[in-house]
Amino acid sequence: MNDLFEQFLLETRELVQSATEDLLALEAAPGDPEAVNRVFRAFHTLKGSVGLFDFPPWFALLHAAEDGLSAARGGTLAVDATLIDLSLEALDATSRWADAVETTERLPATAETEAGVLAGRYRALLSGEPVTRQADATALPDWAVALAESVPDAAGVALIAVRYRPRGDCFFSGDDPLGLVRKVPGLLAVSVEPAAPWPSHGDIDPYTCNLEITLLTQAARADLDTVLRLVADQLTVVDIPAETRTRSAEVADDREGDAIVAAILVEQVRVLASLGDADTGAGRLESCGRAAANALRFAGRPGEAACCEQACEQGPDALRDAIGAILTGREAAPSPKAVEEGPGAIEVHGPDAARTLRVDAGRVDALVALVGELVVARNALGHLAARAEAGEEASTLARAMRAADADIGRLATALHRNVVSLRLTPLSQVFRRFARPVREAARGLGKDVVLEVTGEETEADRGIVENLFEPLLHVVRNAVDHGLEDAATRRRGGKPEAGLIRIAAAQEGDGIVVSVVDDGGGIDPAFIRRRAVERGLRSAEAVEAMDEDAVTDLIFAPGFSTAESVGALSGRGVGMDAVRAAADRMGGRVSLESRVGLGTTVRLHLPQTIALARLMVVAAGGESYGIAMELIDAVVRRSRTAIQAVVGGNATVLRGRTVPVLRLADLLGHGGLSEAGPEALLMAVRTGSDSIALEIDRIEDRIEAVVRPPTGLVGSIPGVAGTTSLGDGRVLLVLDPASILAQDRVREGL
Amino acid sequence: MAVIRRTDGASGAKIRLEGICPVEDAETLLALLLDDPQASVDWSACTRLHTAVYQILLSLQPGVVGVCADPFVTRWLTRAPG
Repeated sequence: MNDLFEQFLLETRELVQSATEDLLALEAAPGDPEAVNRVFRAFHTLKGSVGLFDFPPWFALLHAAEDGLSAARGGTLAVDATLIDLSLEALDATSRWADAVETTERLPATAETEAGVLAGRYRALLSGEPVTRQADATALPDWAVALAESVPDAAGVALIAVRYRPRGDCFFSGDDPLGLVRKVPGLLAVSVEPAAPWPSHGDIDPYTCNLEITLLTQAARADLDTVLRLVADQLTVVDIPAETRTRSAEVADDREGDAIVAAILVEQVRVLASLGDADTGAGRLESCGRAAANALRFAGRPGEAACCEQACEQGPDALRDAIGAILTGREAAPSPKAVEEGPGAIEVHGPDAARTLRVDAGRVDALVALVGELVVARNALGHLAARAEAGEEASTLARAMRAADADIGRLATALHRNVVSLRLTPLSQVFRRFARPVREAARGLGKDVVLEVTGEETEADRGIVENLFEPLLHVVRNAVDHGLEDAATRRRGGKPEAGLIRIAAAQEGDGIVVSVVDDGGGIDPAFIRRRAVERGLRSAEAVEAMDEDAVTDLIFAPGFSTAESVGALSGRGVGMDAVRAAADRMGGRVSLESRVGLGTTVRLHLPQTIALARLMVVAAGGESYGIAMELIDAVVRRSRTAIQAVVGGNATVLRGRTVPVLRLADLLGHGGLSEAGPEALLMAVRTGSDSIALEIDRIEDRIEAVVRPPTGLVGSIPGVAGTTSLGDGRVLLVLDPASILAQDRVREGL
Repeated sequence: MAVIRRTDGASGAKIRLEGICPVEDAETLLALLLDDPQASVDWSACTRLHTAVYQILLSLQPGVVGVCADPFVTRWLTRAPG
């Protein structure tokens, strides 16, 4: 996959996202002309980017969508639910196809049909005709195209294509479908195919009709109708206009298609003219050639496309000449629209173009400033060395060194904090994705829902933000599905008919809290008790003995689903336990508060920054420590006889290499008591480029945990990479072997 | 009845369609073909083929001998079962 393609996918997804938001905003406030404009521009840009690659159906769909939205922008088409729904569907298709081309580099097989149908619906909107009829007429279905192409010598004649799917029981009512087809006047082609795959031979029922008959005729519509009037309910009739007959469905309008192609070609010439040095030039030359060739091929001009490809191999000048020749031959009368819209058609980098990494410029400035300070602080060291050389007294020197050390330490900490903050992402990224699912969930259930979002500027680590969507979606769907009552119930309860869902985020201590609040019916503890007993989660006595909080907590028990029936949205039994598991994984927790009749609040308490690490918990000198799994090469048992004393310590041979053996307990200053069994448990650990073997007492556990950076008292202990809490509440020190060793060497050196 | 099982093997075909083959012939033809899946069908004497009979030929794809005497079938449909 090349850069251009990657950029294309990235940008496509962003545009889909932003257009979706704007469409939803339009749904809420249909009159906003700026939003219509933005949606139009998004589709326009999408179309331009798709046009750079070879995906004709996709391009055709976006082109039709752009036309529709252009009319909406111009005020000739109402921005109503139909247009918005259709556009959302088009965006869905776009997003699915982006996924498809990313993995397979081609569109799914259904794309062509789907694009045809969607594009047809856009055109139907524009022409104001009933959807199905018009869709059939303009976006010719595949079968009609295939039929028409099978009769090449009837060009220039308006034809009618008919698909006739006889009912399965038609033989019983005396029908002979082919007998009817015999009577159709002006037949040009007939094709009979099985409507569904044939059953195995033994299962064939001779009296069930499983045929799909397609035919092409030049008869007048009235004559055709006379013959087939009795089976009209089993027909799909499509008019094939004379001029578009041999063209495939996706090329909407010849003239405009040419105009777009011309615009694309003009742009390639412009890019070619600006070609720089040979290195970047080659790539750009290739993409120009490809863009021009694709555009021409799309427009049904494969000969000229091949010319471009050939010229491309010969260099930029040849390509420029070739495109020039094609343009002068073709550009006799470009439509005004082409001139106006032409350059835009290949405008890939719109004003909201994709940025891979979003870092607040202020943060980068702060980093630069800190690095500057660090340089200054380092200069102080040089000065100190000079003072030491000059024979300054040790005590004053030590004081100065301590000051310098404190300075550099402060700066290092600040740098660390700032770098970590680069990973902070505002939650708005997640929150903005909820408008659509909430709307769909509400629609599906026939509920009216108002979604409020607050605190979206709150920031958290990317890892958290990216993992937040799914659990949160679960909670939100639960709220819409089970939390909010239906309109009638709400009226009786004196609530506004539209239910309220509020997603809020806020900073809390060194973490964040994301809450989902609904003003629905709340959860009745009596119901939870009953359900928990029914599901066999707890005994009746145990449930009775629980206090309210413990009862509420049962909702998070695996296997607890509060839905009376299995709903389409939620209530499959994988409920809040999945949310709790997700929160745990992120190093957070989830809590729920509910008041009968007033609503439910689910809170996710999450750390703001995380570093999830796989740790091995080992025992040494009677204490437990965590060591990052990624640092561990191997854990082996060695007979003590295989550990030799060498100069400066012990060593053994691991995997053909001699490595030093150190007792972890000694390193950590537990010293003394050595459990000298016949075998030693050695853990081979990488420290930088070296490998060492640490002797440990035993392995206790392997865990995945959030390691918090060392702060406060722990922060002053050398060799500690961080802390994490174990399941039983103990705090585990996570070691950094490299710095322990460094510390050890310093001690020995002194 | 216009579906005939031949035993003389003169044209190599085991099953022969003759004259007007109505909807009922579909069942007979199906039974004969299932009975002897290798059998070929001679339709050169068939002057009119009902959809149901054609459907059997289309689904089981037996070898077909001769040119169908039903002009509609010859003109439009010979590609598929042949």
